[in-house]
Amino acid sequence: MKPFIRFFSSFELAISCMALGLVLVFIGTIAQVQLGIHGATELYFYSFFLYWEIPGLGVSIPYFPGGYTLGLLLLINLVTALFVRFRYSWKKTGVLLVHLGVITLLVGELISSMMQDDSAMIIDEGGSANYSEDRQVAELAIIDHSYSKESDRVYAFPHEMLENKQDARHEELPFTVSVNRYMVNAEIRRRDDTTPPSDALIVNQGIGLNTYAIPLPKTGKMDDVNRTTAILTVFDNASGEVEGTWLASLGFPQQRFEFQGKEYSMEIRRKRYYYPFEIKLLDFSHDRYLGTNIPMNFSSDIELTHPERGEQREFLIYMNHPLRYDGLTFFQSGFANEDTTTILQVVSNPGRHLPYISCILIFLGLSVQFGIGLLSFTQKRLKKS
Amino acid sequence: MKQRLPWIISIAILLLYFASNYRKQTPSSEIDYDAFGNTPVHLNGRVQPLDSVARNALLGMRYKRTFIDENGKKTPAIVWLTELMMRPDLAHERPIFRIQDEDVRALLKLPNKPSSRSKVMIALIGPGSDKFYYSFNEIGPSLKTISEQAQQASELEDAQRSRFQKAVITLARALSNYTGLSQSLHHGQVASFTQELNDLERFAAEGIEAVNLRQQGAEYDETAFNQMMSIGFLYQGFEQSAKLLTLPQQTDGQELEWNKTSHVLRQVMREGGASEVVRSYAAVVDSFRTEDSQAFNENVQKLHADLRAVEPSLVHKAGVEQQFNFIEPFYIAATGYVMAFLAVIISWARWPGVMNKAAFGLICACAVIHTIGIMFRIYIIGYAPVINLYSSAVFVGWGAVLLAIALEAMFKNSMGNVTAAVIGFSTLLVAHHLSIGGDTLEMLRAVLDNNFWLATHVIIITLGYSATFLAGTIGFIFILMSIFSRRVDKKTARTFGSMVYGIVCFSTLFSFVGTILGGIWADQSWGRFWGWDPKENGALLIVIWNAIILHCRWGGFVKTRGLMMLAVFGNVVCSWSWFGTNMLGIGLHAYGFMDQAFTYLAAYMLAQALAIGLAAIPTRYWKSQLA
Repeated sequence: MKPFIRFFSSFELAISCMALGLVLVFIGTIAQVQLGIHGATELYFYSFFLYWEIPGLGVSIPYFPGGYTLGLLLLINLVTALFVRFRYSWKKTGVLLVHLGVITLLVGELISSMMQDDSAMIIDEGGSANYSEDRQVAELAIIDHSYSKESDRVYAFPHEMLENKQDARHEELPFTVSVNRYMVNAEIRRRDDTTPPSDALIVNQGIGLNTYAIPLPKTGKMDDVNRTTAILTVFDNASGEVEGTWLASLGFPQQRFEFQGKEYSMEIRRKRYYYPFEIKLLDFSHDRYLGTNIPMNFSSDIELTHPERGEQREFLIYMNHPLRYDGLTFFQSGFANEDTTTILQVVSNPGRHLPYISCILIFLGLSVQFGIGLLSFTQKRLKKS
Repeated sequence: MKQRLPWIISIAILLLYFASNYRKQTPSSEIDYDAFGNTPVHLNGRVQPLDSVARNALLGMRYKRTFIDENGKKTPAIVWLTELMMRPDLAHERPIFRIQDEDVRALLKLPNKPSSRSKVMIALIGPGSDKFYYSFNEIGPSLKTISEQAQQASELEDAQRSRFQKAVITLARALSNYTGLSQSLHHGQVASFTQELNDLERFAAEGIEAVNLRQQGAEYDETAFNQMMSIGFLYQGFEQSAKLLTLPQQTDGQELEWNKTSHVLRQVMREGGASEVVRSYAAVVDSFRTEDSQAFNENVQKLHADLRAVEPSLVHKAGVEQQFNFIEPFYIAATGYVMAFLAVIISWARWPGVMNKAAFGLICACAVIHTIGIMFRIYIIGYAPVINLYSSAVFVGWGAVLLAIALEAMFKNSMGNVTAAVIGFSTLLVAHHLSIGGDTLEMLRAVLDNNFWLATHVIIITLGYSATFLAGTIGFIFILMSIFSRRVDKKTARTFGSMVYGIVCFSTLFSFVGTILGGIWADQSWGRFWGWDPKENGALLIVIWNAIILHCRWGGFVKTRGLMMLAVFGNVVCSWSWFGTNMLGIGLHAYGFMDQAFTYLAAYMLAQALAIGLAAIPTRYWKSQLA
């Protein structure tokens, strides 16, 4: 056990982790040019290993530790070192504080990487919204239009189900949707005589009669969209009879169909998060500096209504001034439609307070540590002279 | 007294240089160009004096803030701008477009010009760049070709453009800037602006009536109508081509409203007459055209009085910026750092004590001038000192110089002096090259518009850069000095070691805290603490590298030599995260994309790598005996 602990608490491990981290951050940053920030982050920083695929064999071997591995090793190293090697004394308060700060920082980033949800709420002037949409992740929505007179009922199935080709079924739905093909990203083309024969041709309903999809690799670039696409077959739960096969893709309008006399529609859309409150956009403004195109300020004047709490208030969201409500934060992130539509970024991150704590710890720690060092150094010099 | 003499003399030389440079800013002429250069106008989203407009415009065309007049004399930019705005025929003759790209010259069929330098000078220092300067009249015949080529090139993304295409786009931008400025005060279609205003005022009522009558379908005066239409067309073109906003106006809101000179047509039509400011501008233009210098000077004073009547502080604030231009604090400081460097070198060869003190005096004087420059910029733009890549270069140098002064005051071993001189000069040189892009006092994009974070995160992280470079430069000089000279012994080596260690501690504190503060700012404005954006990663690299250095030393893995090698590699890490990340051209922080600088960056990194390689030579081959 002892050599084990000695290894995990060693200086050498700390330095190695940091040196490998240095290399990882560097190559990960360079890779962002090709893969986009999001893509490279997933591959290099939010991963345990970097893999290299041996050409021709289809086998991937890990060749470098990823961000999770290095982060966790460093975390273990820090914690064990604090328990095993660290000798507490007043003179070392600074070092202790810094290391506690780094631990908080690592834990905070771990929590964010796992639990941070990021979505966009898009509202037109005068309009309102009670949900936000995930920019990365899609879902399959089946909408029952004849549920009641006032409202439709929506059944949403996460994209993981599509990816694993799990059947989408719900006890209240008389049919099941099975997944013939799933594409994380695709290009949609018009179907004509030159269309190559493929499984796309089994589609016999809806938009897919005139179009077909070609799979594309997943993109992680900021401005690109993953056009999630699937070929879906609807069949009767009772008889097992096939109703039809559809092509559904992100960006297609809802495709309606009738089943047992009731009206339904299906669509692949961005994953939605619904809230018990509603945000109305009263006014969006976008000021530029006189005589230039440099943006001076964007702001959204909004009204928040929470019927259950009987709450209604106005708020101005602008750069560096987000709305914080109900554990969520709403940022001004963009605009569209000639400055009449606002795009608010909605973030929930349970770990968002940790960096603040860590900043204080590290600042105090480093100041104390180097302050003590500087003090004793100048005293020594004074004695000498 | 004898001890003090060298530094009194050196500072006196610096001050004399300062004074003579200041005098050179003022052209000796009967025309009061200084006063005219003080006139406030609105450009690039801010109010600035015409003097700044002239300097920045000329910098974009000629890559210098001055030009050579017909007598071969170096002349301030404001003289050229005055001509360009009032008598473009004179300005069109001045060779102020620098076209260095051979392919562009071939395209425009421009001849190679003989160098103005003598044969001896050409043999010694080369022909210089004046053979690349061409006037508007020389380029004139090819304007269409340029705009066609630039149009083609602009359809490509920047990364895909060839060197030729980039050069064409630069030239096209310079030309559009040039014509925009030439049309900013007057369209030049009639000789007398004042006369034109009088005619306009007299004629306006008649013309408007003709237009209204025609619209109603009633009988109208056709001559008056046609004349009104042609004035309308003329002013439409005037409005479109003008670049400067010259006419301030009080509104109900808080801010002044600014309009182009062509706005006068609306003034006449709505209010029946031109405003006093336009009248004064017209008088200035006319007196310049008739070469009546006395009237010109009086009219400029009247113009300023009229501008003060609109907003009392306008002229004064523009004057402050003009003084800043005249003083050229960063240029003076850069020159001073070179002088200090020479003084240190002399101190090493001879008179160590005295010359080192002189160098220290010079460095302190330069630091004061450097500080004054930064204060001016803060006052002018009203933001914390670091707002773009240019100002970060100025500030990194400033921080490093202050730290180095502290080191020199403590250790008095000339290392602080030499590093202050080297870093002070080179960062200001980098800043100079960054400033060629245009106005460095630019307005801030919405997300940056926050003085609290600019004053905390940005300042702290930039000081972290300063400290990292200081430690690395000490390491660099230490390595060269110990290998190639006998100046270093065991004791001094240890002293240098503790200097670097102390600076690395400082750098760790600043880059660590600065980086986390940046994360907190990002959490406040973008909703995530850490987004793995290239600039953030760059900052993280510096923190990690500093932490590695400290742990290597605490763990006893390195002694003085190793510490120096690690510190020199800090230069590589720091320069990459300062400039390299911007060259990737992605991410939210990509505020200063640049590609030509890549070669310089690579050369700098290579030099650091060489130093590290040299330090790997076993110490027994070194000239200085460290063991």
